[in-house]
Formats: sequence, structure tokens, C-alpha cells
Amino acid sequence: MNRTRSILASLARRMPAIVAGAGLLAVWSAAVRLLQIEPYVLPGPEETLRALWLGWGHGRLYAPALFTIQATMAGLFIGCFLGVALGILAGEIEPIGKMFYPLVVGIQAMPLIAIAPLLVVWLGIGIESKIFMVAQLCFFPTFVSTIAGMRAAGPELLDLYRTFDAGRWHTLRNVRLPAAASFIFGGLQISVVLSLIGCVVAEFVASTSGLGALVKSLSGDLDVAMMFAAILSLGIMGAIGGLTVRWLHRRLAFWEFEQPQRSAKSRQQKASR
Amino acid sequence: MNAARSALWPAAAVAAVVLIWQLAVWYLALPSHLLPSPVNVGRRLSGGLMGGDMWPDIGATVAGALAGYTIGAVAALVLAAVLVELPILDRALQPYILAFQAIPKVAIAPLIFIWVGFGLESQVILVVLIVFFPLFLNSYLGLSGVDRNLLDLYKVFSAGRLHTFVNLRLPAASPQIFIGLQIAVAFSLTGCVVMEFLTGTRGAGFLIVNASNSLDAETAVAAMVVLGAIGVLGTQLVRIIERRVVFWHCNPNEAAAVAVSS
Repeated sequence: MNRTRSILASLARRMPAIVAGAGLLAVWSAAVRLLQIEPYVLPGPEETLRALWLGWGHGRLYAPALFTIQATMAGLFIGCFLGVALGILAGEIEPIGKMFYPLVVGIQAMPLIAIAPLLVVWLGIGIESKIFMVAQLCFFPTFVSTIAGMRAAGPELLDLYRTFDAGRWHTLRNVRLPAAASFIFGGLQISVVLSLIGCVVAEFVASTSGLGALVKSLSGDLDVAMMFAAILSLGIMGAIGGLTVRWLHRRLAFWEFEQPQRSAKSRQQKASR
Repeated sequence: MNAARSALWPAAAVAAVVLIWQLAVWYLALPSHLLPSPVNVGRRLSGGLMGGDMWPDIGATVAGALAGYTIGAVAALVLAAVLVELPILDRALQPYILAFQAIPKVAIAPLIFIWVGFGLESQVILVVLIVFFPLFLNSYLGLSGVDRNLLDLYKVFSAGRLHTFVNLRLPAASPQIFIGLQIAVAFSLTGCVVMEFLTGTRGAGFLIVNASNSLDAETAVAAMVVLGAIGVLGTQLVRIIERRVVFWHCNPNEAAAVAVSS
């Protein structure tokens, strides 16, 4: 009884969103039909769904999507691993942090994707140039947020550990890293978004496969429905990536989610920093 | 004095990187179509800037980025304000805005190209789409994160909606809005460059693609340096404006570091 009520309540809360979504789809479909918009300009939602179905069922999207997923994941892992590892190093060793932190903050203000054509010259049109692109894009936000996180540990706690003669490793594991967790995961969340952008742009420039290359070549055929399907697939990948990072955050830094009020507050503090 | 000292370390790091780069090119005898030496890039850069053959491209990119940035910023701020003021619209649209955020916006570039064609318009549209999310998200978080007690206080004194918005919400949100504005600078250049990669006939992105295709790495790297410099200058400019506008709030140094990004 209680359960049905809570389901109904959550449904009522979502009502505006459901109505808006249904309305949007209806307007889209009706506009395409009534105004007789050509499918190579704007396909209706039905055509898009069909393209999605055909693309995944008959394999037109399958191979490019696999390529993009592989390149993105490989680059994401390399970039984020290096970012976190070097970020910890720079947080532990003061001169390195002093040297590179402002530099890297400056680099973040630059459009790093501009290097894509040169990467193709260096590494070829295969998957290597995409992996490198993604890795270098993901490195910087992870690095910067890890360093910022390493500075976030409370000085009282650090003093306490120092007083009791705790070793560097011990302090890192028990004080600094837990304090840095929310920063690191914030950086990872940004990296997920950037990773797909990087991969798609690198595929635009020159590629043997991938969804970015597919979208580009489909635009030559004016197959807009399939383009929608490919772009939607990219969006789904992005959403899955983002949700995975959030899940990991909950798993690994569970203490931040234990008291909802407090975690909301700390999130706000983080956002305003 | 203090500022000079804190600038010393990063300056040393830059010098070290350039030095290693130059030495690597010398000792490994790298061909200049792969990795040009910094000296040659510098020569090409000064030639392009003094001689003026780079200015039209730089101008095209900056114009596209600036137009898209401005439109995107206004649109994001207006939408965030509307959603914060009208909760029902907020509940209706928020999930879709967040879902759209998951799509890498650059993937839409070929679509824009089909719909709008070559030229400045397509560039501006892509830039608007790309800068919209970091700006919207930060504005929204800022505008909705106002202290409840203050809101209640305004309500108790029966302040009007507009009055509350202008005098309470907007000032309280401005630090966060400026974080979005800072992040969006690099994003706007990214959008421009991607469009130029795809359809370019002009612009810094076109310069890079074109030069890479003809193995003229010097020009490509020089154009990248210019883009980087524009990004840094633009971000600094936003920071200076921030310090003027939000003078009561001072954490400009690390704002960009851990911000809510797109």
C-alpha cells in the first residue's frame, strides 16, 4: 500500500517531465508530417528510431561504435591514470606542484583539440591517434582536480598525523586521498565528457572507423536519420560513462553519501570553489 | 614581489619544456615536418603575425567564438533564470537538458553543416551549443543555491520577484556564473576549431588542418600556439572582469580548477 503510494508520488513528481517529453515527440512528429519536411532535412522520431534499430540490428553502427568505445576507454584510462598518479605526486612533492600547477591551469584554458590534425601526422589515421587525443584531453582536468584535492585535507588532521609521527604513505592513504576523493571524481566526470568529444573530433579529422567518422561520411549522403541514430548512440555512451563514474564514486567514497544533508553541502562547497 | 615569485616556478617549467623540445629536435634530428623546433615555430609565428598572413584566420576564429560565446552566455543565463523562477517548467525540462548534456556536442557539427551550410552561422551555432552547458549548469546552481534564510527574509518584507532576483539571486550567483564564463572560453574556441576542421575555408582550425595535410608542421604548431594564447588571454580577461564585478568574492586563482564543467 505504502509502496504503491510512493510509486504514485514519484510518478506525480515526474509528470511535468513526462508530459513535456511526450509533447516534444508529438510536435516533432507532427511537424515533420504536416509541413512535409524532407527526411534528408529532418527525419521524424519514427524514422530516427528505425535508423537506430537498423543501424544496431544490421551492423552499420556496430563496428564504428566498437571502435569509438575502445578508443575512448583506452584513452580515458591512460589519461585519468596518469592524471591521478602525477597529481598525487605533485601534491606530495611541493616543488613539482608549484612548477606545474599554474602551468596546467593555463593549459586548461587552451583548446587542446586543435592538435588533432598533427596527431594524425604523427600517429596515423588508426586508433592510436584517437587514444592519444582522448588521453591528453582527460589528463589535465584529472591532474588539476587531484592536486586541488590533495590540498583539501584539513590542516588539523594533518597536524595530528604529523604529531603521531605517521609516515607519508600512511597519511596519504588515510587523510589526503579520502579528502581528495570528491575532487578526483569531479575531474573524472569532466574527463568522461571530454573523452567522447576528443574521440569524435579526432575521427572527424581522419580515421579508419568510428562514430565520428561515420557521422561525417553520412552527412555526405544526407542520411540524416542514421546521423541522428549515431549521435544518439554517442549520447547513450556518454550517459553510461557518467553514470559509471557516479556509481564508482558512491562505491569508493561511500562516506560522502552517508549523510545526505552533509554531502549536499560539501557538493555545494565544491561547486563554488 | 609575491606575484613575481609565484610566477617564477611556472616560467621555469615553460622554459624547461621549450629547452627540452629544442634539444630533442637537435639531437634526435627530427624532420621538421614531424616536429618543428621552437625556434622555427617562433620564426613562423613572428612572420605570420608581423607579416600579417595569419590575421584573417585568427580574426575569423575569434569572431565566431566571440559571437557564439555571447549568444550562448545570454541564452544560458536566461534559461537558468526562467527555470529557477518557474519550478514547474524546471521539473518538465531539467531531465531533458541533462540528457542532452551527455551527447558530445561536436558530433552534431556535420548536422549543423547540412542545415546551415558553410560559414560563420554554422560556427556560431556549434559554439552556442558547446558553451551552453557549462554556463547553464553553473548559472542554475548559483541561482538556485541562494541561502534560504535570505530568501525568506525577502519574502517576509514582501519584496517582489524581480527585486529579489536582481538584488539577491543574481549577486549571490555571480561567483558561480563567472566560473562558467571562465570555462566557456576554451569551449568556445574548441567549437570554432572543430567547425573549421570540418568545413573550413578560413580560420585557425582550417590553418592547422591545411598545414598538417601539406606537412607544414611549423604553421600548424604556430596556429596552435596562437589559439592557446587566445584561450589564456580570454580566460584572464574574464577573470579581471570577475574581480571588478564580484569584488566581494575572492578566490579567482583556483576557480577554473575544480569547477562544475559541461
